[in-house]
Amino acid sequence: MAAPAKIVPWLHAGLRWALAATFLYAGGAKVLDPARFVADLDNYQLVPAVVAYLIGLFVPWAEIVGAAALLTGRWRLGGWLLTFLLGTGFAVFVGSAWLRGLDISCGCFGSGPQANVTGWATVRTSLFPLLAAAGLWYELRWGTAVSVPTG
Amino acid sequence: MSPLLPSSSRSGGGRRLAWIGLVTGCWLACLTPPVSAALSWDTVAIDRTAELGASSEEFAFHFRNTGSAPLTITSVQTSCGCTSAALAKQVYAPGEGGELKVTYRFGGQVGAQEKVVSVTTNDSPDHPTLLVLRVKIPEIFSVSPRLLWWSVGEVRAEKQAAIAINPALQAAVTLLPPDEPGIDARLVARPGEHGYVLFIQPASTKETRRARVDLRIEPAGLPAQIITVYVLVR
Amino acid sequence: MSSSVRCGSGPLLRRAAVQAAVLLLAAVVPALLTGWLHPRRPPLPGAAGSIREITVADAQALPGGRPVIWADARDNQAFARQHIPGAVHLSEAEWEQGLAGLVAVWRPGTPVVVYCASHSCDTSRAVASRLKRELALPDVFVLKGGWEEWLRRQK
Repeated sequence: MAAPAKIVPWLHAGLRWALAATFLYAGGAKVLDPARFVADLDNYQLVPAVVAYLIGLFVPWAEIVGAAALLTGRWRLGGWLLTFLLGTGFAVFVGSAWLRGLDISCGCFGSGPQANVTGWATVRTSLFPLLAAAGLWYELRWGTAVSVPTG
Repeated sequence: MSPLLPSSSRSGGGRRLAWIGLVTGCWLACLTPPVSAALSWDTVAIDRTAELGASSEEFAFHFRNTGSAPLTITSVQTSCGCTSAALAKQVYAPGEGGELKVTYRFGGQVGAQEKVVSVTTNDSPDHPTLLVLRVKIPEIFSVSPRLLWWSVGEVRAEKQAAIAINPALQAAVTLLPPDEPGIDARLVARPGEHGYVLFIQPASTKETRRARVDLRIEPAGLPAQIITVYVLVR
Repeated sequence: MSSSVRCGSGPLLRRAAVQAAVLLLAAVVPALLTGWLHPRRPPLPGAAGSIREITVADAQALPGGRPVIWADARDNQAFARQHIPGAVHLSEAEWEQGLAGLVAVWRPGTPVVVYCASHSCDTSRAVASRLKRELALPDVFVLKGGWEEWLRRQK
């Protein structure tokens, strides 16, 4: 398969920076107020209270670690996969809440002011795993993280 | 080579960096929620152990309007009827500070308690601040169980309730006469265990019966309390 | 000029999975520290003891057709406005009064279902725990979804 156009690596790098910045911000905001995040998760009525508690403590740090990994050379692959998984998780929560007609806060960015769960919020939240998947696919196909020089 | 940039960054780097910066900047601008929270709290959680025998505790949460416009506190809601909150006023000028006083009346609650006060402001109506009170209320005494019951026709065996007194206190416990006849009650001290046992036996379980047996508990230096043990034959 | 050859996607994907797992493990320690030390840490779930939740439908269709005693844990005003028919008012603010009222209607084998305003309130759990501890009743539940859920089911 032919190599991609010259602009594509820059698009990929831009996507990587943007995803890293987003997850760093989202994780950081939630780490500042974990009680609020657990309360927001509880409102989704999707998982038992114990699970919401564990997710509420763990996910913000996973977001920060995933974002940091995206900015490295060695751990970039893991960063792409982790942000894809986290993004998918959020999309499932937000989408299920929208389908059930729950009038709740998204909880995506911690204690800051933010949109409630709506159709548009569902679409926007679903973009993250899609973009992370695209970035991971590009990395696996043409990325330089583990390329082996010949000649 | 920097892991942040693609491998073809050797030439035309300036324009490409600017392009990346523009894309990332637009992305962040679209996603970043507007920063408008203007009420800044000294602390949003207070942990405290109540004094033995206290019936209530007062807490003060200090805040300041760090925004550039006057701020109105539109609502203050408590998680329980046992807590009440008071504010000197509702509107605070930029830079002005204030205090939210919360009174928590224990009403017989004991142990680790957590109460939440929810504060909403005009600049963030959908996202209130949650203030948390975490209080350890020492128990003066406990009576358990406070309901002793027999089924009609059941063997009228003696049943018991345990009274435990906080080891840090001395207390006198007096058994008051049951309010109904036909209920035998006796109180036995257990000094080694810092408590008492209340034995109760109905005279008959052939018909339904309802009675109250009251205990007067007088901890040293604290007000006396009457605690009821309910007796049922149903 | 050197060209680079990508390894097969399979090993790379495996590598991504291993890296993701390691990254997740790295998040465990700060998460635990947050739950222990953070000033805004969330309360431990189930701190009010093992009180089971029950839905409106289940409460109304218990085995053997047993009726339940509804215990309303909301404040005075909310109870006075409207409550489940036949419910006893049992709030921590007026505990002794409420307890006497509950004992007056309780019969052996009757479950007690405590409710507060909605899914997100915690008062019913605290009241149910205290009831179970003080009276040693065997069957004490909290109503899933609370008063809001009851109302929704009546429509």
